[in-house]
Amino acid sequence: MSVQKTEIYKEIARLTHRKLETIQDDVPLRNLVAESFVLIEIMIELQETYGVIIQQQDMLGIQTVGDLVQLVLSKTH
Amino acid sequence: MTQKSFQEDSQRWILSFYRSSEINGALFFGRLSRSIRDSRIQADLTKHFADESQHAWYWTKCLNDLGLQAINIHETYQDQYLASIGMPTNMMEVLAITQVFERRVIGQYGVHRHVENLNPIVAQTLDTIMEDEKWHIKWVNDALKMMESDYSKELIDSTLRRYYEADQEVYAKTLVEHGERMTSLFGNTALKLR
Repeated sequence: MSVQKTEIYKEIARLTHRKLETIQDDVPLRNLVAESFVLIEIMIELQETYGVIIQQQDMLGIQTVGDLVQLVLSKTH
Repeated sequence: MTQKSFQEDSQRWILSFYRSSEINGALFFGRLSRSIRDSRIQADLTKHFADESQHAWYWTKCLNDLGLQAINIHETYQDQYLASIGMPTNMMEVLAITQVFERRVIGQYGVHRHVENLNPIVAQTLDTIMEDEKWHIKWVNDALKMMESDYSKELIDSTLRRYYEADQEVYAKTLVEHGERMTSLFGNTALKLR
């Protein structure tokens, strides 16, 4: 499945109710969402949308939007 | 504070704690119900969301019928789970943690139900909710079995084991933090309510 990076940014912007231009690679995930439950929803939504499975251990070291986008991309290739 | 008023205060606190946990569960499952696409899980997950909302209402009504107002409790059992085991990241991990949590809830409600001289309003609320909780455990168990083809039985079993171990720690921590309240409600002393 070929996934464009910009699609993932758009999806994150939609899920966090933020403007697309604010979804930058260096934004820490903890600044993006106020509650852990929202981040879980984002993770599930991304997996459902792109047909990938991300496990808890994959999230080790994932700190920023850029890290998360790269992780999703790596799972789709 | 007299022993009687402490018990009433503890009663109000624990019922509010149940209510807050049900609200958090409802909000969480509501969010997931929007995301999940697998039709085999979607229906049960949405029913689970509806049940948790209903349970929050039952506890609110129970408190009101006892002449009490719910306390807003922001730190719930689910928050302590996330702090202990980290964030579940996929649907299997979410359902595994749900399975462990639901078993803890039904166990806790069962302990509460067996308190001597339990107020009938609380008893009836517990009975009603526990019936739903049994179904929650069943559907989640069925869903996890169905997921074995995607995640493998070994991974699901090891995830459940890890979460059960964390649950023991979280529950022990809760007992330490709220020991006095728990003892006054579930110890040998009979529960005296209004």
